Amino acid sequence: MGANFEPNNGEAIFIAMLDGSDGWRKDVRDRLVAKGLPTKRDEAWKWSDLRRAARDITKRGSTQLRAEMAPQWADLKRETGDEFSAGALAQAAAHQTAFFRHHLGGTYNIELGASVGASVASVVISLPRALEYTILEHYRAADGALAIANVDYEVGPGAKVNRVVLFDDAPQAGWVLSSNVSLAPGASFTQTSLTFGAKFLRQETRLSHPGQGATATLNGAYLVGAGGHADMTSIVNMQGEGGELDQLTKGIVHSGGRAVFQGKIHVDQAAQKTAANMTHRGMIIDDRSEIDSKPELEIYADDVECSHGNAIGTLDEMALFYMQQRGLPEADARRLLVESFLDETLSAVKDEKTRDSLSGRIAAKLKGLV
Amino acid sequence: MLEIKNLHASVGEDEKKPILKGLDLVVPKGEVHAIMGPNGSGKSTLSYVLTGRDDYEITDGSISYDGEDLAELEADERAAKGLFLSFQYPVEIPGVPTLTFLKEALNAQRKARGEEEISAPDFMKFVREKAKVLNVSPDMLKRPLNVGFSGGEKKRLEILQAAVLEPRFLILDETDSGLDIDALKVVSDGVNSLRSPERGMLVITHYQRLLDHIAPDKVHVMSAGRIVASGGPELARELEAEGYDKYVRAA
Repeated sequence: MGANFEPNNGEAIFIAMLDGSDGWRKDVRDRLVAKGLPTKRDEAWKWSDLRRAARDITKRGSTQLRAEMAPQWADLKRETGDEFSAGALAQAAAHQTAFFRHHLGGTYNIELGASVGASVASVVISLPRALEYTILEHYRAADGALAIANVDYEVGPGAKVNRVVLFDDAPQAGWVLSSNVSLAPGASFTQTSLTFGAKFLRQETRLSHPGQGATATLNGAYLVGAGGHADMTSIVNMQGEGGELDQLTKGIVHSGGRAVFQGKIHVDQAAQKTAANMTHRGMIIDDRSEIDSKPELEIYADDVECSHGNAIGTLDEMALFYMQQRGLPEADARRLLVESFLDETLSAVKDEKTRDSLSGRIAAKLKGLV
Repeated sequence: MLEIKNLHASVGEDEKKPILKGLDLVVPKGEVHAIMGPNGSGKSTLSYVLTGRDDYEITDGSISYDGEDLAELEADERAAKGLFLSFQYPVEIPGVPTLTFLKEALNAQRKARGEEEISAPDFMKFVREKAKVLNVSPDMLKRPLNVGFSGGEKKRLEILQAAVLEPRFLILDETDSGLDIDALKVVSDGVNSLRSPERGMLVITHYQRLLDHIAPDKVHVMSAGRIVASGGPELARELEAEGYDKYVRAA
């Protein structure tokens, strides 16, 4: 490998961020030098070619982190494997990780901005207490940005965490957000993501689920239009007995937009009595748009209740007629149908104001669109 | 008055299949007419053609209400003119609360007629009164439209929607299907309370039993896309006793 490999513009910049590093960082750099960023030939990235997204990136950019509290900055170590890891690259190239540990429950905002060019960021959010936390993450990027961010969660025993991830419209930017979420027994973790796509966008969530009374909900909505790309990828490892997982991803593509859903649930032999459900529903408004999806269940325990559903469809014509028959003009009926289709994914957001604000963003985006 | 003259209609997106083949029917204001007929005679097609469903194309003839041509209007425009169809299979609309839907529908119709929108408190009061009579619980009104409702609940909700939207003409398509005796009573009481000198009704049904509760002024027999016989209520009883055979052969 690698003899003929020439890094493209963006790859060269990510490699340069790691120049002179040693230890695990050097491993990350060596891998990047040898194989580059993943392409459609890599199974895990087959619908999201990161290498291609880096091609036209010609300068080094930067990320800006804003939060109510100042983080501690730490040089954290990380295990690396053979596979490309966007999280490892971000953490290695960022050198310093912003570390937030919240001993008090409540709501915390984090905003991550990316300027034009290639950039990275690394954040760890530690929520150790058996309290209720809401973390609102807001991502915005300038035109011509390609940012790779690692945002990990450590959720303590009995902690109840509501994570909300919102990507601002960024039709001319690229985002990779990779998260390792580790739950302690008895923890509850609820994630809700909303994206309108970007030139390139991928959110990966890797969840380590210990069972033992822990529960996790992973919900997401995408609404992707012309030139947009949104990839929602998740890998959940159920590792202990009696774990619960609920996953609902729904999305709409239109005007040539493209979306990807990859969901994998792996159930260890030790994870008996796991109850896991994964559902993906996609709606394709016109024939220029595309959704690719790959739901996977990998089960090594024999006493589990696991299911997955995956359906891609168009607007329900009979529902449209029914609504029109009651007096709603066709455009209003369409809007109401698609709005309510996506709204279901927001139902786990506890805070009503946040939920309304997300719902409002969807409504605004849909106005005059369908 | 609803007037259907020499109605020909075809169904299908690509390959059009003629279903209605010269249907004539007049339903004056204040009257309830029943259409009975065997499966496949075109009864449900007639209800969709009247209400303007896509892919149900009128190839000849006319539909008018009080002299106004309806054939060129969109489904929502016909609804605003006062045409209401109680569906044989009411459609589930996930994520849209029943009450929200009803309010949007009512205000859309009012807007189309150049009337003022109804205020939220007035609307709530209005719906609650109607719901009580039809045994529709406040909880049902909060749930997404028709989602997870039983057959009886769906049909009660159809009639509630008619009571709220106050149409000038009501088409009931197989309203008795999927109803037990108790539910049938509630639904037909609801329909009867909507009878008025200003409102016509067309009751489409395969069986006579609904007509025991909703007494029609006239009964028509439909076969192969046309009305082949008309008469009084006694015609329904005759069909129940003797079947459709002689009319099918006549067609």
